[in-house]
Amino acid sequence: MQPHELLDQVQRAGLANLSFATPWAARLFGMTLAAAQKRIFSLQDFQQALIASIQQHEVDGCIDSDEQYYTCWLEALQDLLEQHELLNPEQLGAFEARIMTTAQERHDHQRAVHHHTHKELEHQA
Amino acid sequence: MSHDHKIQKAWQALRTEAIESLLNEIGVLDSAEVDQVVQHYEEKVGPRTGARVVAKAWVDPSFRQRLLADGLEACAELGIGGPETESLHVLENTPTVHNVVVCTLCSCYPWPILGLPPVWYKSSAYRSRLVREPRTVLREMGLTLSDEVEIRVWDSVSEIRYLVLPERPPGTNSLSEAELAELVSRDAMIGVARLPAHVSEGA
Repeated sequence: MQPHELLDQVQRAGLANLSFATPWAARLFGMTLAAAQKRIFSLQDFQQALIASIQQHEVDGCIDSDEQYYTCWLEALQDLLEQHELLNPEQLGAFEARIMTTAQERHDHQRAVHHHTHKELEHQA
Repeated sequence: MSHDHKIQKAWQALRTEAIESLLNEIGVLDSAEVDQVVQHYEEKVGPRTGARVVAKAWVDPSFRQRLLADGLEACAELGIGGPETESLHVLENTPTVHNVVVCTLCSCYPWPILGLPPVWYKSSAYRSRLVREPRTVLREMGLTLSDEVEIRVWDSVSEIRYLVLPERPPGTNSLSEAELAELVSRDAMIGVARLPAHVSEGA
């Protein structure tokens, strides 16, 4: 990040509403704090995982956006949950596939309904 | 028909959703619990929370003393705080000492007092440079301090979080506590800004 960019960001952040940049970042933050509240892991453990993930990321690049930062957060949370044997990459892959299939089906269905309605309207006209 | 309309999803969004549904399914975490945290941070906590603490410290000398002695306990008097912060050190700015906070390793931040950190606070640039060249970085961020002012940089470590208590701006004697709170910016509570002198509306 160049000096003027740091200033730009300060000025922009001053005006921006301070909420989460993306819905997934909000879920990550929420999951992490909720898990710590339930003592699934401690926030100190999470902090260590986040430090490791940020260090890894900064080996070949910089963090200068919320997306990069929360990507590190995601990797840290995933690592920590794997360490606690609450999930593994295969399971996660299966859940991802299921989510995509469901989302695609819903999307196709909506398109089909829309298409159908459109035809009907054409027919009526 | 549907083949040319594959839905797109950022991999982070997909992975996050998968983690949440997995934790849901094995009964580790309920989505309602996650909703609660998100809602709390989106609607209830933010820099205005910290501003209330600062304004109170300006008008109430005994509160100020308690705040400097034990930040968390004093904040709790105002109903502010949460399990996310275990120790809060409040750093008092004076005409000759300016405090500024960073977390060089990750981005520890007093969430329950200030809400979510801004993007620049988490950036590699701020985290890597502030300790090395604070005067230059602050100047680049719009805060020029004279050489007589000593800059103290505080790096958040393990359980300690920091909050800067800015100096009360001149021209604010007649303002109420609530009006004073309106003047306090998040950046001043991190230490990358100072509060400007107050010019009353009639002036």
